[in-house]
Amino acid sequence: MSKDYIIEQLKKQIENFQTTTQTEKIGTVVEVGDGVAKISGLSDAMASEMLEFPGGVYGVALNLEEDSIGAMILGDYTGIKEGDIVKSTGKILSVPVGEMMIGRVVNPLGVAIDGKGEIKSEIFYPVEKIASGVITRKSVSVPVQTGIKAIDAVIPVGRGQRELIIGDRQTGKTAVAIDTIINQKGQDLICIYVAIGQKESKIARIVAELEKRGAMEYTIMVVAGASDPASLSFISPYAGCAMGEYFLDKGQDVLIIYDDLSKHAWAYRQISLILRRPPGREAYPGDIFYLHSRLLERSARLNEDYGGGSITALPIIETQAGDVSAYIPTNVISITDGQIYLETELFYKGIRPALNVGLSVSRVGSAAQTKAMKKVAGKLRLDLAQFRELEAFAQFGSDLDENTRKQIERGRRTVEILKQDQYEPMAMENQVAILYALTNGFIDDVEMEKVKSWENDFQKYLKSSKKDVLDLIAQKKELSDDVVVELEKAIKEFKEIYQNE
Amino acid sequence: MRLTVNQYAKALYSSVKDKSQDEVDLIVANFLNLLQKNKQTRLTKKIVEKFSVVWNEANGLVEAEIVSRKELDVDTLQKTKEFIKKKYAAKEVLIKNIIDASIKGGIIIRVGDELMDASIERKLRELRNSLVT
Repeated sequence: MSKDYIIEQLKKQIENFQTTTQTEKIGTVVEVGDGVAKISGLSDAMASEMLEFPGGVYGVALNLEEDSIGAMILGDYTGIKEGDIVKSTGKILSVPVGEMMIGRVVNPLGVAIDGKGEIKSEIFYPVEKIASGVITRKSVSVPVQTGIKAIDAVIPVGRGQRELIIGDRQTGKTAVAIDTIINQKGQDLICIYVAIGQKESKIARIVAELEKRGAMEYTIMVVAGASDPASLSFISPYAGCAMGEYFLDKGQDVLIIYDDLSKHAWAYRQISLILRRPPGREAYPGDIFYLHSRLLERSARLNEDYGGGSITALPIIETQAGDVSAYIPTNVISITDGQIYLETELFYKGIRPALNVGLSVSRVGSAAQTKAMKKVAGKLRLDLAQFRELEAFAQFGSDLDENTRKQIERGRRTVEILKQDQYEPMAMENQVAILYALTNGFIDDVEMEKVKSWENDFQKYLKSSKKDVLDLIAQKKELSDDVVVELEKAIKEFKEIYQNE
Repeated sequence: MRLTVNQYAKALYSSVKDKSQDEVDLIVANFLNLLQKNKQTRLTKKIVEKFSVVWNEANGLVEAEIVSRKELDVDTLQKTKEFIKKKYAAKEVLIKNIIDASIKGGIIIRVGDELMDASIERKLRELRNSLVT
């Protein structure tokens, strides 16, 4: 290719270049501060329309008043000054969506921030969308395997469900969510992790961990960091949800984690107060409930006529000193289909995940549990409930009758088995095997201190020598008689080997 | 209920239209008394601004701001005036010509909150954008 040719091409392109002059609607900035601008003019701007500020910064019209508009600025607002001209774009705030987002770290506007190059997408989805209606939906019937024994057995989550993860700071809320993502490898579930006002260091750590475990291959990270303006924190869950809706419309299953919605409420409170909307309880604006209900309602399981896709939401709420009756926690608890309750006290006792099995519930998930899991989980739940009742008597030790003592011993072992290390999700068949052994008394004669190592060895043994039993459970998904026989045989064989060592 | 700037401006206009000079003086004095009574005198400046908008609208008057590289000659000015008259169905056009060399050529017409950018500067910017992508 010669130099002249390129010049010729350029000349041609410039010659053919035409612009049309159109009438644009404009306004001028009257007041700007704290990420919110007051604009006069723009008489026919729509609610939540994108506005263009000089320097390519975008904003969103939030308050439409008689002769001014209150808009939040998405991005750097330090360059915007009074008298600047604002143009309307005629577009509702939307984000790029598509397959190319998978494996990427993006900001809430869909711009890549992982340094792996620009993301180009032809398809845009509106950030705010009304949730799917009744006729398009179907009840939850397929499980999301979180890979965490305590959750999959006692508080199962189904595809299309909204399960709240709630707890104080440092109780492992994010860990539960990350383990769930890691466990989705090869499960045909696209994961979206939405970080709202999180520390950049924490986000970097999560991305590194997911990459290390090959989980970024099916994960999108939508990040609004702690240093980003509140407006970005505010739109990030909606943007993440819009990215998920693209896959929902294609009939795929999506899991979205909103980490966390308390910071989202704070960001919205900040914007509302600066926009001078009247404050209500705890200074939150009047529509704080709708803020979260419209977001979480977008999680759905669609019926076959509408593609059969699903969006499962795992919102996270951080409580202060275990207070679940504060404003935002009660709101979100009432919106979601159950909650996973993590406790500081349990965390420091060494029970990790620090799940409070008594207070955690799943309102719809058990319908989606596999038959095999259902069978072992029913017994497990009973054991735990009895143990909780008798726990207070445990200190009397030898004074107890045989039956009570047995139940306490079983309960202790159950708690021990439900402990699980971080980043070590377990497949459904392995969970069923160990829980079967537990609920049928095969572990009762193992010493308390050795329960954990017994479990580890048992899993290793199953994986190395009894792969066929695991495959059988994974394939049949129920504990029919022949499976039970095989499983019991495997457990007994292992116990012999273990005793001989 | 407190009245807004817009309501004041419209009320003032409808009471002063088709009135003689003496009557207008009286009405304006009364109007200011009313503002004082309602403790809204601080709105005066805004009402004045709004009043001129209301007045222009009612009388088919359009105020246009034209930005050009150098002062427009009579012929161009006349043509532009005609164009604006037609576009906004106005009886009269008031032109305010602003000289700004940075637009490099062409003109920018601004009427109220509408803007027509036919400057060379914008065309060059768009050309650059189309070449870059």
